[in-house]
Amino acid sequence: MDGAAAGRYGKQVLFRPIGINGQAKISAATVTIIGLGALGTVSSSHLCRAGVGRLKLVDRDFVEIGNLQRQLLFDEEDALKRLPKAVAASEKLKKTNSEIVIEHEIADVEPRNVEALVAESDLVIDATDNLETRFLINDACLKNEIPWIYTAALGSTGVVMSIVPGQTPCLRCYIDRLPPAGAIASCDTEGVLSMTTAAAASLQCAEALRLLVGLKPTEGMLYFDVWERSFETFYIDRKDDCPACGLGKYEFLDGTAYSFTTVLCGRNAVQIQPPAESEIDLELLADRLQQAGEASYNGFLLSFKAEGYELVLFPNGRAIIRGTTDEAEARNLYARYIGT
Amino acid sequence: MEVTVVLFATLMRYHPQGEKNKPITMELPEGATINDLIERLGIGENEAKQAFIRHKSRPFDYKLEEGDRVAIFPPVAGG
Repeated sequence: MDGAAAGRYGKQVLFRPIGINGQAKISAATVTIIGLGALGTVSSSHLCRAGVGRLKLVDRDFVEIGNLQRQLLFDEEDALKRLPKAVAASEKLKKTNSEIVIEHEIADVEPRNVEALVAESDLVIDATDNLETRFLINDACLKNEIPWIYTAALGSTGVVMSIVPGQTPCLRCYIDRLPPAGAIASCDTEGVLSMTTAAAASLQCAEALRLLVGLKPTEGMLYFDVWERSFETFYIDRKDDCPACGLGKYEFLDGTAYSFTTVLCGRNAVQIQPPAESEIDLELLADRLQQAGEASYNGFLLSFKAEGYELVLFPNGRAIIRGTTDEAEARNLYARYIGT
Repeated sequence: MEVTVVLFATLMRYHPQGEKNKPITMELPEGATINDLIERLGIGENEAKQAFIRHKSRPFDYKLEEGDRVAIFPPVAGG
């Protein structure tokens, strides 16, 4: 056994499709992981342990007790401290592998920042929980010719599909447009098992390593059901009239099809992203909000409780309003307490 | 003509006998399309996104043939 096969990545190097050459490619790669929830905590852990040279972790949210059932990197202390997921994940992963570069970004992925977030990436890992962000990733990755892996999970079922610009169909060849709000099931109504999300993330990362070592993506969309123990692959054609990969119209990236209010999957919460970014002094605002309810600031975010709702505010003005899934009600609370 | 339908992910709730994963056998008139089948099952317009026959994607106006096995998918968006 030579040095590489005996070292940190030994077992992976012994796996023939990877080998020493493949491992060198993995170590030289940059991968951006968007979302650090149930999918992203597992995918980031796999890719960190596999030795991806540079991992960029992006998430907009903070850790809560209700996440621990399926978000495998986090613990109760993270939830008690309400750490941003990007921070908590980065801390855990740095302890796991100090030989790679791990960067984190507490950010919502939006038209104005998505290209900067995926820049310099050899691959983008979709670990999001909504279609709108996926459509945005699809646009940004097609435009910048970056492969990405669509992965989604709900209940006991999951799907995984590699999207390689110029080679495979894209997400909009599969789902032509965003369904209207409320038209499709979410984790709120269907729930999700940790075995589903962990299986989806594992299949996604096997595909990631395939692509990073320079192999062709597997074809088609894999569908599985962990409860019924079924796996099937379905084949989608590239559509010449696909708005994104066929016609080159990036409607989500240019903002024409993008909304700034999002109901968060499984959270009884709505996110509000003000159209214009601002820089808020959260410490000062926490003092002011003490008059109206219970306000606290933990160095990363402000939490404010009143009227049975909780508003969590980030320095750039983005807020997560808990206690409602009504977008209009959330906007109203934002306007009343934070201002527009 | 007789076709077999399998509903996936959240569309399983439209199974007429509530047996989720069990294929549904349906009798349809000659010339019936995938759209006709979706309508017959009461699946909402925005809920079905892709239909596959023998694992290959087909448009919703595709004319079904005797013995086709149709798989119908919603968009899967959770995570």
